[in-house]
Amino acid sequence: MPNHTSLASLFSDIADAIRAKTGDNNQIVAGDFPAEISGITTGLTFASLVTATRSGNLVITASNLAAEPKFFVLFADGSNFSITSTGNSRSALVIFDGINLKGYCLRWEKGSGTYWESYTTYSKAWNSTTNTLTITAPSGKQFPATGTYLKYKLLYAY
Amino acid sequence: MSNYTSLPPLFEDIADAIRSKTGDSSQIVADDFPTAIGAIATGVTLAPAKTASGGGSRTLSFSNLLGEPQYFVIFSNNTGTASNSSYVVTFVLYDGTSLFQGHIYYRSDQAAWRTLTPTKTWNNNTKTLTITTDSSSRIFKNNITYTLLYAY
Repeated sequence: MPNHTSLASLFSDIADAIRAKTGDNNQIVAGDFPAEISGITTGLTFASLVTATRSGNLVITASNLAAEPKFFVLFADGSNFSITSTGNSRSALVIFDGINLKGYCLRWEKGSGTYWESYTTYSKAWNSTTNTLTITAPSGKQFPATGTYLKYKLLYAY
Repeated sequence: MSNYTSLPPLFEDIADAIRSKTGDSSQIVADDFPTAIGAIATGVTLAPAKTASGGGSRTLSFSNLLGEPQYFVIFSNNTGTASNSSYVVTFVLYDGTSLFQGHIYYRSDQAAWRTLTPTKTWNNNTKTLTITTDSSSRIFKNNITYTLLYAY
């Protein structure tokens, strides 16, 4: 239990505690303590990977999250969702880096190859009542159906 | 620059600043300010993205990072192409516990997506993260740029 016997030792310990958080070495005058504390970066808290739910071809939802994600990665985890119709694209990964939202698809061209593409026309919505994140793919970039070997997982930070 | 003429308003503002960081609403005595500041959770910071070239091998490295990544995602923005029964790794995710590797695959009759388990190593001297895919046939493709987003 702290027991400072003078203002000098209290202020010295407050300044040390602030510097330990900011990584700074500068002297701090007592009048600046509140502003310095307010400037401490609290960063992000990452949640455990959660399972997301496919609701129709173009929509994935994740409910009961801890808070609105400031960053997230949604991905299809599992083996072999496949495309057997040439020219088709399927969504496999969506990343929100805090600024940009982008989705990634694989596309198959018979006799040519399998292509990895990115699109910025994905959208996200947040419901603060149910703490649900909804991610919607653009038309033609559907999320493959889930099954025994395919689940959608979300890693997020808030 | 703040200009306090007495201790009570300074102590009140210090306590308010601490509470705004912790989300707590309880009173804090001045004697406990250093401990309360020390208990502010600074969490992790998402670092700016770093990029690396695939190089056509099963390993991919990112050097001079700010710290060992606690969480990260590696992904490719480029249009990569898998052909002739080849596998191309398109993303790697580390959630703090498990590693996931996603790759695309080409066959004459279909395209396929699969996640498997790569390995990672950390060199603290060079601050380098290296990912090695699960198999020598699954590669980070040549001429594709991979981006790393990480928290440390």
